[in-house]
Amino acid sequence: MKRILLLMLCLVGWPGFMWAQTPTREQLTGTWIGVHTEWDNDFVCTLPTYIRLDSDNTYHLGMVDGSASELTSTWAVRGDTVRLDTIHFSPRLVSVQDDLLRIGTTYPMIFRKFTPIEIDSVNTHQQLDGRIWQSDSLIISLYANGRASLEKRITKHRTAHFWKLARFGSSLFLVIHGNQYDRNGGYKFLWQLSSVQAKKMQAIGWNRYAVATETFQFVQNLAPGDSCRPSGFQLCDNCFDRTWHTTSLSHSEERYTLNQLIGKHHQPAIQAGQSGLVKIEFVVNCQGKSGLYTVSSVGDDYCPKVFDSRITNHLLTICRDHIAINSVLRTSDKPGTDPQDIAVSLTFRYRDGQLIDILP
Amino acid sequence: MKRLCFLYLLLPILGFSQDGERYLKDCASLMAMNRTAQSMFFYSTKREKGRLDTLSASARNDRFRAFNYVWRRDYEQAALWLEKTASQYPKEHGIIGEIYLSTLRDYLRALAHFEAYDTQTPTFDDLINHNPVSYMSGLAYRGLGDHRKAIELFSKAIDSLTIKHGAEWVNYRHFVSRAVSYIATQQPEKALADLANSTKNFNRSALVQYHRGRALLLLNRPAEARTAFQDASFFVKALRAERTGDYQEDNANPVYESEIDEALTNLKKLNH
Repeated sequence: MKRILLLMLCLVGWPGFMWAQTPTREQLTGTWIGVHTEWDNDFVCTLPTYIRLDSDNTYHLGMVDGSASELTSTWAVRGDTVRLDTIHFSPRLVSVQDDLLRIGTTYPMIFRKFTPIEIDSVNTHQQLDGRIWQSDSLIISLYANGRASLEKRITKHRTAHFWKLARFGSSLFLVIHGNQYDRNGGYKFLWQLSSVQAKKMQAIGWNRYAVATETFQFVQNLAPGDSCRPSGFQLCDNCFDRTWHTTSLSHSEERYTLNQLIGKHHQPAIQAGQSGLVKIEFVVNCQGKSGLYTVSSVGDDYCPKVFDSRITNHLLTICRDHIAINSVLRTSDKPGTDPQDIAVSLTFRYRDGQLIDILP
Repeated sequence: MKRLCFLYLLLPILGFSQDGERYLKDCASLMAMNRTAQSMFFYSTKREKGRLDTLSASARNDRFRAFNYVWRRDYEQAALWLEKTASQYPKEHGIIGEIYLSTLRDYLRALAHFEAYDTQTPTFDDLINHNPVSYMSGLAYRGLGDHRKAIELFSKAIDSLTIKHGAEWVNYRHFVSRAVSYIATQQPEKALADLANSTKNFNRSALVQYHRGRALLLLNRPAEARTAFQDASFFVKALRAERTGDYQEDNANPVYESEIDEALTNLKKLNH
């Protein structure tokens, strides 16, 4: 009996157990708003789409901000299999828990159950436009020219974007998208507004931990001369991860050009004991600005080792002044598309202060 | 490479989509991708690490784990798992040595693993991914700048196969590697002989023609060297058209189009 009780407790305490159940047709019927896609354990990107599953088996896939024509098809549940349009999901790959719909396990897509909240768009626009709002963690400035800035209250890190209000049925979404340059770069977030008053607004969205209602207090009006600028280096893409965006040089022509460039600017300095690997990583954004430089190193024994700062500073200077600005990094951009952010990772092998190899 | 192809597939979905229509199509594609559960997570490195952590210890699983760290450029953990895998599963010494040689460019560790691999069957020149261990050791010595030892080991790999089955059964890249060391030790005639054998086994090689040009230059035969470099230039362009990605005939002996162009430019300067 004790064993059974223990087993039951384990099952209840294991969130994956509930996720693993194929939902019923009744559970799935309704409108689901995209929350995010989980690309990795710590890397999620806003999902700006919605799914509507009607009781007459009609399936709708659309953009919450109405920026694309809705796709319409059919859906069905048979046994432990769900079909959306022509996609037959393997058993347990579509699940519902706590009003969250989870699709897939490889790159799970999370949707939340939508509840319409009627909001007047004209009045809301007037309340938000040209004003600064703050929650416990964030300060949002919504400029009259459509620009927006987001500032984390603890770190003071500020990024620049664009904002708009998007009508979804009778509901209203605050959409933050784009980057410091233009409206490209994808969506930062979409919040469903639940109430807007002169001094307080509330919005439903993902707060890094859960879908919740966030409260924003009115701070002040923006002054006419206030400009919307990031506090430092900003990526263009609102969905960025070094691993996913690292440009692979391998044994390409670009690798040869970079090696030549490094060889040209590297000043050898013999320093006994300065042996091992120095890894320098950085990011070049879509407009060619670089930032997020990191340096790490290991000795010949592959244990962490701090190299002489003359070596690491010299490498950083080469990367910043010669590599980051070199057009060779941009050759992976596809013709006809806007340039993207690129993460670069270079590892240098040193022996007694001499650069002897650059790892592929 | 498999990872890279996969990334090209996913990047458009990942973000930076230009408009709503494209976003919607990408979302539909991602749903289709999620229709089954994948056994590996490729670029989701932390999720992949979690998966690997749940696997039982075996040569294959431990090697995968080591490779995952190498791929993530976590060199401390990579070396830890490479050594652990090799010590627990001695047959892994060969492939581990190859990672030290080709990816980490740690020639001393590579040699230690090749030796440990080779001593398991002292009378046989074991293979690592179709290459005799003596050839791989030769590459490691070449990386250390010891071309004479490299030639000795390349010869061990090449000669045994030539005696048994004939030169036409030798991988043309092995002849090229020995030729590179002959050129480095100022023995261009021997290099040309090796490159002639290479040409018999693959007659459209930019790699072979480039090194022929270098050997001919050492022999002060610039007209023939120019022809060789021009042939190299032609073949490298033809290969670029045929292949996708950053294809190299031989990662151990990479030759770049710009390198061939530079050789031709230098020859022109020499003539003026």
